[in-house]
Amino acid sequence: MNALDGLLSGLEAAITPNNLLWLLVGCLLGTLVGILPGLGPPATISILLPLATGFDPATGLIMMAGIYYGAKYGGSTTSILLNIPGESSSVVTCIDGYQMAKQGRAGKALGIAAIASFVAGTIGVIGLTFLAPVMANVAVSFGPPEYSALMVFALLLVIMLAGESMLKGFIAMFIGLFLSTVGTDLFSGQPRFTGDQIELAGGIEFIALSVGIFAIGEVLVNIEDKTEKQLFTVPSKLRELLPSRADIRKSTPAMLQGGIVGFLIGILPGAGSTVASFVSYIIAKRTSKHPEEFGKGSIEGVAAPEAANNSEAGGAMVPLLTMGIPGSGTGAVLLGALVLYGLNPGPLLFQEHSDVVWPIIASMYLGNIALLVMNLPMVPLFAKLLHTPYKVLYPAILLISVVGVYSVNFSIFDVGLLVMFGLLGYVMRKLDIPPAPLVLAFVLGPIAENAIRQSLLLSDNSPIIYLQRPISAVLIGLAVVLLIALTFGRSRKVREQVIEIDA
Amino acid sequence: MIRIRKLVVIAAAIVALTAAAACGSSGSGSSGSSAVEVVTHNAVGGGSDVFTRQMIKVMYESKIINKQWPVRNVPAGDSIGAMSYMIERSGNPGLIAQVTPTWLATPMTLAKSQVSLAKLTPISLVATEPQVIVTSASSPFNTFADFVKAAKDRPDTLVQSGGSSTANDALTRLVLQDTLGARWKFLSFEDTGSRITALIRNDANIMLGSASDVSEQVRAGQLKVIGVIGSERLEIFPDVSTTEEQGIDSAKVPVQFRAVMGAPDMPADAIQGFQDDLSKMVETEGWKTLAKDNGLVTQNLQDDKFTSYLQDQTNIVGGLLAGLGLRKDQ
Repeated sequence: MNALDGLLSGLEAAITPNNLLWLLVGCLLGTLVGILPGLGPPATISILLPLATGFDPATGLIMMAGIYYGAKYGGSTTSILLNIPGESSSVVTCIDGYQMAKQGRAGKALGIAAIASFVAGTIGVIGLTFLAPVMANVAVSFGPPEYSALMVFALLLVIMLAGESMLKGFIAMFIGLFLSTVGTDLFSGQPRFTGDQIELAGGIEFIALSVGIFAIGEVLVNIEDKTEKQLFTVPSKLRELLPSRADIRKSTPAMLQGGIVGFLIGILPGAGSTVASFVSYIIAKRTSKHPEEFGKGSIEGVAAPEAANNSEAGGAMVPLLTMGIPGSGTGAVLLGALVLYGLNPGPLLFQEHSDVVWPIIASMYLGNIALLVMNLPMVPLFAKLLHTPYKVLYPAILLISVVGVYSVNFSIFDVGLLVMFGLLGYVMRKLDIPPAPLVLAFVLGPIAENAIRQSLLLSDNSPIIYLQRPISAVLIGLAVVLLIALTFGRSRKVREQVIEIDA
Repeated sequence: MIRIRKLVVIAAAIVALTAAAACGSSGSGSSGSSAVEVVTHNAVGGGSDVFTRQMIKVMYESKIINKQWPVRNVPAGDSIGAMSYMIERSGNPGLIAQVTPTWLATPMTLAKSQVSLAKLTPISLVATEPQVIVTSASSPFNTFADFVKAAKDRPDTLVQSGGSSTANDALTRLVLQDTLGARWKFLSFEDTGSRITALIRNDANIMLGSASDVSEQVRAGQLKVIGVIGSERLEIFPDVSTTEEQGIDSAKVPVQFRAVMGAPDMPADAIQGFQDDLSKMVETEGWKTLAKDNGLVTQNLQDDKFTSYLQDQTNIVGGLLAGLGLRKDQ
């Protein structure tokens, strides 16, 4: 069966009242759990598994997939409104999204996030439909040296997120890399920096770190001001709450670029969506006509990472459906669901169970449309939440943060970590050290470390292995070019500034 | 507004959920209710979680139980969290866990562990899961003996892909290297998917895992099985010889098992009830299919047999961890 026939037959099977109903339920649930930090798609799907295993496999999986990509639509909401990144791929959205909210453009940010999610989500599914077999090979050919090179490249890009001072970016990144080493070492089984705390054996919980540094740190800094000033300006006209035509036109390149980058990087198991979100942010910044707006509330700076984050859903399905290899926590849950339905996910899934696989893929097109229709009308309502006086808003943020962090592992220890990272976030703001490089380095650190150590084990400690393999050599080459461009770009900027001063 | 209301409902549900969880952890044991809950140390979708749900499904569909038992995932601390959850609820007649060798090994690696498998109540060792040795379909090795010969000729050049250094496949390598006098490298990956792609990419030469990890790739012709560790052939790969048949001694290899254990001080009638349920389960067609597809060997060891099996495995695993310098509980 070729892709087009498969898709059409899948559509036919997906458009039954029953399937559509559960698709909508999945998308709605996904949006809701996406909004709340902590309770993510894996937990939601697990609660629903006993119910869903009673369904026909296609119906159950359509609903579960809906929760997965629906959560990505919702994920941007708390990032933009409250500076709470609920998952690693929303970290970048906080940078410009929260700035936009502060300037009274929360509605525009939420609106463009929904539109970008739709555009890129659809690009991702198109990629999944037509390129899955080819792309599966790419995922297989990514071994330890390739991941090492990708991580070197990615960490360089992380520095570029730093903003004004590259030194402060480095400081943030190194703290993040250090924190990522806490836990049990994969290779030796030895605990590292855990202080004999069993809670730290599995490493620091990501949600506690990210919510602490972003949300709690922000609240602490603002409370210190002690002013009665309105923190957010909110326009009262409904029209100003949604992105204008000009906003959409301005963001279109970022959305398309983010969609493609997200799909390509999303295929790689591991850090797909996180890496994709900031790679596309950097590309958007470099290619934008207004790079100076980035970090200060650029609408493109919201569109690009949100697009990448959503098209990753299509990309991540590629290794799952073609090889039975889950690329993420949610992928693992979907894999488990496939097993429970007796479908044996593996290289033969597409051939032997096309009657299940194609309806799922087809439903993702419909789900993306449904999510856009569901999300856009809610934007003004959410934006108006910012009318809430900060006396109410701050306790609410603290409550959501604590409940969200607690609900991940039901661990009071994690809540303690949240407090600690909140204080760290506060100190970093005081010293003007950007939080995003820290959090991203924390996510990338273990992947980089494991990949580098795996590569060196393969090559008996010879670094030549990074240049012997084509993909890794190309990535290293790109990183070198980037480094040169970075240095050169800086000096040019400095030169321009000098000239300006002279004038 | 509908959305806001929904949000409120969800938020309320979460608050209630966490409150319930908090209350649950303070009120240990004395509930006396007959509600069953099955604990696994995996997050949803992990091997142990999926197996637990499959087992419950078999029991429910063959009407051994009249309600699907809920599964509680306690992934914190790689079995330590799950064990703590059990121990905090001593005497609970409905609290059981699906236990794997990780539950045995992890507490041994901690200096001051408050928990250990010995505190739980043995119910039944349902099945063992012999490891299979796989390689890529294009590999020159057709038996594990071929691999061992090559490893002897070229020490420390061949590569086994696997999990962490304390996982079963890594410990098995240590035993085999010692008994065979051969040496090869061990490449750790977090997840099974990466271990398999390392074989397909020829970064690694062999991998040890359960049959269910690789059966689909074998069927698709990407991987081939070159041996089953132990002395019994598996129904799913009937043509593959065992290491014993290949002349390789594997008696001291730690065995991957799937057991069911109860909360500490579980009442005798509750233990009996679960033992009866499991004894009925292993006779059903549903179980037999599940066991075949996953490469499991049904054991259903109960009481003394289970206890002494557990003791043997404790000694094997404990000795290996001590050899690695990772044993901290003594």
